[in-house]
Amino acid sequence: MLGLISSLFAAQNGPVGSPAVPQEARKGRRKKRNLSAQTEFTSYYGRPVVKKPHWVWPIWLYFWAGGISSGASAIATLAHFYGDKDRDKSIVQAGRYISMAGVIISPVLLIIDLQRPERFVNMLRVLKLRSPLSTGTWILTSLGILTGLNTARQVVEDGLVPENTLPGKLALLSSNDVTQFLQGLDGMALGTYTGVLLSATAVPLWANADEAIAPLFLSSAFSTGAAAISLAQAVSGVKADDLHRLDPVEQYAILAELASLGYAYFKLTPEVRKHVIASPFTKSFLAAVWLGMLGPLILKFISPKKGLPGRLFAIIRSLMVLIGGFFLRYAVIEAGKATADDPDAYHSITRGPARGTPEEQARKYSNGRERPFGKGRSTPEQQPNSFQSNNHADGNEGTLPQGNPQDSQYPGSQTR
Amino acid sequence: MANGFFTDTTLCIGCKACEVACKQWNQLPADGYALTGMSYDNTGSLGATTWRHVAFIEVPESKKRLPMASTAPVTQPPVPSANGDNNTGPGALKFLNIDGDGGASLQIGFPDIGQWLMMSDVCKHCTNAGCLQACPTGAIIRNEFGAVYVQPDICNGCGYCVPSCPFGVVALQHDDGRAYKCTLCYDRQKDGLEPACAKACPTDSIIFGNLDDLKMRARQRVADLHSRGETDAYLYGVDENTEVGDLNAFFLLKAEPEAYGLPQAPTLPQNRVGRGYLAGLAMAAVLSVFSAISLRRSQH
Repeated sequence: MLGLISSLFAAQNGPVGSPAVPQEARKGRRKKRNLSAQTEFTSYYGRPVVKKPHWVWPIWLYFWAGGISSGASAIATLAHFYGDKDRDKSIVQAGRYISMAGVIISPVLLIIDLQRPERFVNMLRVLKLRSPLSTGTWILTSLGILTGLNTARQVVEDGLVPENTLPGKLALLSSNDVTQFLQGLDGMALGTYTGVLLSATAVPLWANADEAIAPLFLSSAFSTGAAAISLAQAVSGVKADDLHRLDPVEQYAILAELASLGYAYFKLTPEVRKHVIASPFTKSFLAAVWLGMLGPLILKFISPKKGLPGRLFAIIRSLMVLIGGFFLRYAVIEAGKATADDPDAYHSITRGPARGTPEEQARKYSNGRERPFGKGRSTPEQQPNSFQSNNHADGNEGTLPQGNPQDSQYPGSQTR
Repeated sequence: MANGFFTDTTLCIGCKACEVACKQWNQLPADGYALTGMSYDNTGSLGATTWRHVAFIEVPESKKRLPMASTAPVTQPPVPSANGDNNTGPGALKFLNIDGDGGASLQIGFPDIGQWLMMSDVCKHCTNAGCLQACPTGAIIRNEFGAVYVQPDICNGCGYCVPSCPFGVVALQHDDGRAYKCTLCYDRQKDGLEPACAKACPTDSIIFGNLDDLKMRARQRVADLHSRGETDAYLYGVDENTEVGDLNAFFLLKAEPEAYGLPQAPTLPQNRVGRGYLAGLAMAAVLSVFSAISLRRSQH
């Protein structure tokens, strides 16, 4: 009985950090952290320090769909200006339509995510450059307009609306190379801001990965955008000769993704990295890397180039990139939320010489105030008549200091 | 003129009068009877309906850093123990014998709580406030009393302020959808009253007032505590070099900030915005150039 009870309490006798963590694990971690000798606590009972966002499926889907829209806009624009006028026509065409679909779905998902959806228009009250969500609202709004104009031209060029009707004339009149160029820029801004949106929070994973997330999301936007366009080309029966023209773009984007991910990985503190390499979301990260990045790269080298097999492999590769892109968004958001619940992760990224050692503190506040109680008054060292010295000097427990607390000898009287 | 709180944790007795007064004045709903099972702290954390939160930290005897400990040995009253000797070493359990009928006896061990640290946590109303800068609707403003205030008639519940707070203060109220946090009793201040928590605090652990006065008072208090040997007392939130700047609600603490669930050196999330966009821009340039070259090269 005694042994049981004492072992029960012995486990609690350690630092009052997260009690659930085994003693050995805690010791190992504290060694690595190089804490000062006086540190006794690792957290407040292991409770979260920062709050995680409420984001669930609308935001996973938005980051994915917005990314595809962003990449499709950028690639359609690049193909429009640098591609072959004839052979890359299908890239521009698919890019515009895919981008349009994305910018129609995205605001719907974002409004669903609002807890007060009827007030979504309040987002358009202000433009704050230091708030990525505000900037992003305006990026998405303007991209919607630009993509609408360029897609309207595409609709007319495809002959779905006759050129000589009023809508047809208006569509051709209101879009040109400038609107296409702006759509490309705006598309890349959309892919970037979603990353900045995450890194500009206090969530440990996102804050710690910092400048790696925006490039990661942008390159993922390029790869998923290229994959979506390739998929549309493959299933819509584009000539086999013109089918694989986006493959290099997709591969550059995947290499950039891998580089960003690697940079982020090495930038993370061990406490945060734990949530990437050994957590319920590790599988999602692996799915993102293998399905969305390494798999398609490997498949590219072994897949046939010509004929129906080539087309089938292109479809499979595109689907893999698209699914991997979704897993990437899901894993980054959900693992980020898990790090927000982990006080050790947050404390590991907020260490810094903010206030100095206790000795420096003492010097700072007692500067020129060696006799803080004014002329003719004694310091507690000279006049051992306080709670502490009474208790310890003669062991006379619980004796109040002699005299009136208002008396100048009572050290607290000056401040209270 | 900015007003704020100085919360002197050395005076806090953990009565939670501030929590109650805050709930009562601001008509905040109850949070239910959830027991945390870890300490007297059953509130848990700040939230949408909890704008004051009293943290309870139990410092074991063995970990206690008594100011006089180096010069005078800490004497403990003798405690009856199982085998008769006084178990007074650091980190030891204290045992109580309960003799029952028929010779059976029960021994209960108590962990050696050496010291309580209590702290009434609140929104810090930072000089550089992450939530304020993150708010995409402009619902979060700084009011005429220097407090960071969420305008409930504008907030649309996007929830972006929640992860943007470096202290985890602001939260969404889920049946209402909007974000809420301490208003520094905007309504009371308009009528010239001090906030409800400061009014209710029986030991003046929470002091409300003009920030310049509060800071002078706090520095004086730290100096006094240091001169009395309490050298681990320090101010959290003023005279520091952090990205969030001085806190309008600052604290006098006696243990490392992590013990109270506070970050050592909080960073301002929005300081990462510029770097993020620059990194994205660089990636956009690289990908555009490579894509353009690959599209150009495959022409014929």
